[in-house]
Amino acid sequence: MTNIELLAPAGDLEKLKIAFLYGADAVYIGGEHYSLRANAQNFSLDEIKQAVEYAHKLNKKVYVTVNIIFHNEDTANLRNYLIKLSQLKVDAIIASDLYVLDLIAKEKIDLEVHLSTQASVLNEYAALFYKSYNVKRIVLAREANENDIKKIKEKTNLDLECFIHGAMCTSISGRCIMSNVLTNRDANRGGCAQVCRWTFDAGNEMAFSMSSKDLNLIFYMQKMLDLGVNSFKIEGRMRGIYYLATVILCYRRMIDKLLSKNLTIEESNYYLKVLNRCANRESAPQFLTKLPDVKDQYFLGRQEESNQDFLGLVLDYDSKTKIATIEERNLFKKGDKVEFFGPQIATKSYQIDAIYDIDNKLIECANHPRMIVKLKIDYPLKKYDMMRIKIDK
Amino acid sequence: MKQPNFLIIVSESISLKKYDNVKYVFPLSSFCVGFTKTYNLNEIKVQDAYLYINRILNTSDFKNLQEIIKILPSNIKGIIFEDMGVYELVKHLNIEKILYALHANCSYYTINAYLEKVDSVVISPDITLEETKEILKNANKEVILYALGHLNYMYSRRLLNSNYAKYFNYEPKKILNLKENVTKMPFISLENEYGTVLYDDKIYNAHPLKDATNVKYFLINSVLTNLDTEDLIASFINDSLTNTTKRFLEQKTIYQLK
Repeated sequence: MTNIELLAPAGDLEKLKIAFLYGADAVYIGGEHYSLRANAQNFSLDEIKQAVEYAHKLNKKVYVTVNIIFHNEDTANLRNYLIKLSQLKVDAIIASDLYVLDLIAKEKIDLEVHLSTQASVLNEYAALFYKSYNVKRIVLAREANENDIKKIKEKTNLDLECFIHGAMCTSISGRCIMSNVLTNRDANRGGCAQVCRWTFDAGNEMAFSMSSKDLNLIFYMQKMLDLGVNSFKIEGRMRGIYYLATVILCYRRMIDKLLSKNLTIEESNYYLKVLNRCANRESAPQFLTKLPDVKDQYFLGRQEESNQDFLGLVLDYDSKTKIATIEERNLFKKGDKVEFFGPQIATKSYQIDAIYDIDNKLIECANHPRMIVKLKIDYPLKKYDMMRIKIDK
Repeated sequence: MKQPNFLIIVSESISLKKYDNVKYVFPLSSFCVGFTKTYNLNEIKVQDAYLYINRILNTSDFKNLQEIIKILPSNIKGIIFEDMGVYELVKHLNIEKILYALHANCSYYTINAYLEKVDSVVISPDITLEETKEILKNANKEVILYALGHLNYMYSRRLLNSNYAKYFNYEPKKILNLKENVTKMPFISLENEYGTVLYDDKIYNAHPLKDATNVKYFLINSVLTNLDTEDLIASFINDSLTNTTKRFLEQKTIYQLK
């Protein structure tokens, strides 16, 4: 069986490090310009340099999104920016605007190009068109079904990257400007206000809603491998470290088990439960095997539950005293049943018997954001392991 | 001054009367979304007709499309498409190939890249009057201007109207009149078996560009207008329809909030 890349989002350098630590093979990041998350923190050129150096030391990859739809005014510094990315040795850029593809080809800029999902490729003919611009990989539209993936792979032999987890646009990506209309924020230049999660009056008692449930393809990973997918992509450059760590680790563990042919349905169900809690939203396989229907949408507005599962981040563990230093993220108290997870440890349960503050005074609860507390834990932990509410198998 | 030429996307309201400066565009059955009526090849009788394919196509759609291309009659002057796969399929045919990618062609750099392949490109109506003029000035071939019609704001593969009706047990409707709940802005949601399009409730009129040069055609979409060719053209030239919008021609979008 061929290997598969687990590709994760990284909104900043800290998240990039978390992504690699928790098992991503590659990350995609946005620069300060030309990225579809214009209001994320994003990476300066100096930070991209640091990101690439860090990744390459780990033998991992960094892809940079250059995937806005360009207006005349956006093009002025593009050439220099692409040359700079090439000099920084990013592993690829992700682009959809034909001008970017054409410019790189004509100017012979040494950059690998991955075609963004914004180009909405669902068929081998479109894939062949973009292949003629030296595109090496296609990030397929989320609407791609099994047959589309199979045929595109057969006819083009291009690398194929598929979203496997995360939020979905209601529209075909790139084919929506509702945000432009209702908020004046340009969706195709990174300003999307997620209007597809709003509600509309249709003249009936109940509001019209078009919000999609999230995507997850947990139960179709083997099928996607068989179809020739090369990279499993997780959505979410604006997400926090808990979400990233949880999602990446779940997929890392499932992929590793899948490759060694011992992933069970029970395990997949458990990971699905963990992932659904983490996202606050329900998820569905969406388009891979059938057209999504009424069950794959929300109809009663934003049905998202506040998630306070993430309790603390491990900052340090003293193996002699067995004391873990933890930065609080959500309230926890004496008597709570929690669990620790991390890239180097199996997920382990723990009942909180005693909490100490930084002065080693016994306290009843950790209730201040980012307060530092200490817990005695019998098994070793590492920096960046995380503590969450216990999720039953 | 050159007489303006028009492309009219056909719907039920168009009588297909012959005019020297008008060509008709037929939404092709099985290959279009956002139309109340689509046309099979054998229903298209006018000379110099254009076929319109605005769906993002799945691989399975190409078998049917290949059959259509094989029997393309001589009255078909060209093909207008959204999906570059269609271009790849027809690139060797001796017909006009026109790219109408809804929101993609917002710069003359992009448009000129496409113009190396296709015969013309529809400039996106998502941009300002000044941006449009700059494109017209710098485009390497004559381009197409979206002149009049409801603007397509969203194209989803999902059957949004049907799903809504099913969930709440309402009578299913192919057309829904919607009002966004906060801004009260009205939209029209039009569904067929291939997906759903959300249109602006108002008709867009690019009248300030009526004298533009470097324009191969002014494009008019008749869907949901209930107007015939002559009225549509007159409305554009004279800005005579009420309750229209110039939308992004006079509304520059932003994207970085900081």
